[in-house]
Amino acid sequence: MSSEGLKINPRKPAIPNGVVGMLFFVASEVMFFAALVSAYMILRAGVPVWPPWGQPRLPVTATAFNSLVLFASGFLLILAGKQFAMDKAGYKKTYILSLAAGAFFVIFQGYEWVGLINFGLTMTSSNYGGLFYLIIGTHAFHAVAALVCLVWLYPKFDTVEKESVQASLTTVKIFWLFVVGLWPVLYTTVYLL
Amino acid sequence: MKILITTIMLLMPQALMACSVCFTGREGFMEAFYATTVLLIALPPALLGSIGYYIYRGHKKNLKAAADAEKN
Repeated sequence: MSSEGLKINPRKPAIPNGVVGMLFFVASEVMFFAALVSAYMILRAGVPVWPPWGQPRLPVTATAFNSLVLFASGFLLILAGKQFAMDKAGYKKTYILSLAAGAFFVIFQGYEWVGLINFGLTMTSSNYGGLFYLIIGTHAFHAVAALVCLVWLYPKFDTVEKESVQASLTTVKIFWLFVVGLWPVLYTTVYLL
Repeated sequence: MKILITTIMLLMPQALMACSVCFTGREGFMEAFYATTVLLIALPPALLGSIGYYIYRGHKKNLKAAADAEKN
């Protein structure tokens, strides 16, 4: 399709600027996590026994349940976005549920960490502990940051015009879906392999 | 000194072949290096390509919306 002869608003970007910014931010974060996963894989391949002797095993089943809660949160946010775009009632409720599921994920992970620290897995106990807290902790930090963005956006549903909120919602949604989408990779690498 | 170093190098060619960052002789270690090297090389073009395509798709969508608006 050619743009000749069509009246396109020249000031309207192909996609909102905030979304472009978030996409580049997420791309840089993907590279950051790829570097962390690479370091983990190389250090892990260099030792004969993994996890090292004397270090506690990670709570695989409990974290699998927590992963499902995180996936549900991502699904609910997509649903809330669709409901908002189609002016359907109940989008706020779906949004709050997504937020609550995300908060549950972070709190439950903190609870698991307390148990692991009590069992002797700390940042300085071994490479295993150091890498675990670095990778999973960085993900948790991103999850908290994304939740703060979701909380920040909520009051704007009533106070700001729809088109602007729609762009902000897309931006925050990309961030949260990055956190959700990254988790299976980290869970498989750190907990399962 | 040069003669000494040259003699050592000639007597221990395996040492010259050694990778400076390898600190273990395990088979999986090298595979991990290869796999992560491929991952880190492939990710940037894949990410930038995806963003470029997303922007292009948005542009096409705008063109279609403008064409539809002109028809009506």
